Amino acid sequence: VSDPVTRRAAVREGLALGGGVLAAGSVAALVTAPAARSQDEDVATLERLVELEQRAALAYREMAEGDLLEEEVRAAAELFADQEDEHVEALAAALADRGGRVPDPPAAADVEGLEDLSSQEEALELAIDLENALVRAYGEAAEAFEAPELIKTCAQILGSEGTHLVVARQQLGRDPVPEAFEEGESD
Amino acid sequence: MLSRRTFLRATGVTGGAALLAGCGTADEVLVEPRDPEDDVELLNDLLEIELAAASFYERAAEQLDGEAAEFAELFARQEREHADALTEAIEARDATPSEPDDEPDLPEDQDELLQAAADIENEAIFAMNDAVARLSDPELRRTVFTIVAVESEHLTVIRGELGEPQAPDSFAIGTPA
Repeated sequence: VSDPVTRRAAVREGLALGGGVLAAGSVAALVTAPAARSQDEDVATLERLVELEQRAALAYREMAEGDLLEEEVRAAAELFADQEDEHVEALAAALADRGGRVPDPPAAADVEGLEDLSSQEEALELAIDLENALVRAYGEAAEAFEAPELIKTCAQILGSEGTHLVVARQQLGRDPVPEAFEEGESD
Repeated sequence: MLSRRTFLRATGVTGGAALLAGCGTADEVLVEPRDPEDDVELLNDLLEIELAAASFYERAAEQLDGEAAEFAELFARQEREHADALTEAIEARDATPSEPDDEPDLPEDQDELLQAAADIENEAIFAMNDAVARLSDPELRRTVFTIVAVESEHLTVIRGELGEPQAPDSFAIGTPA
């Protein structure tokens, strides 16, 4: 019973399904079971995305508040921290809708390399690493999620991460768009 | 470079709260199955956008100067790669890929040309964000994600060339055609 109209009709009328006659409640359970599994998976994926966004926000904020960055780069780090916070906020709302819990905020020690930065170049390299991890995670989420609005929101956030990548690459004097397909890298 | 500095100005952070409601609710977890046959239509819509963008950049590269011309050449190649990937996906589904549309005239002024490029990227981002949410094939969704990220990157570069803030929004929403 693959199409939604037929599924709804089956639930409504308690029709035969797969050779056996099922009560409406039983049919409903069959219909919703895959979605319930998907919801658990969505929560895990969302928690992972929130963690990565939280780490990126923390890293940008620490960079902005430190003394390694030139003024224009510092301002960019401050802006990107705010933008990552907005991503966290959006994802947290979706997480709450699914009964999930927002992970505890990370500490600086949770972001590998953050406490060891000694130059602007290193800070920008770390920013690229964090953004690449986010890009990779959103690509995986695109495969995992089924809810259209959630996929769309993730695509919109992904675009923002692409923007951050370009700015960081340009500040390092690199090609801003080196590949035709932005796949990111695992963290 | 002017473009990389000016993004720090007027960087209004907008749109986040408004998007919260669009993030998927518990009701949406019960997702109705998508129809794989719709994938071909969606892919063809995106292919038309990519073909138009590639053509635009190929012609724009001949009119633009300096770094902007180099970016246009690069972006043309990348849009062609996107079009090739989409064509392959369409043909793998035993369907016929769309043909390119007629090529509109380009503005002669450099800034107008760059603004036209920004418009193309914004429209591509909007269309891709919409289409990717409706694709049934998870692998296709991932492929489109890798493409839409690059369109956003193109837009960021173009904004820099125009001397505009490069990262004005927390969410790359794009604009409807």
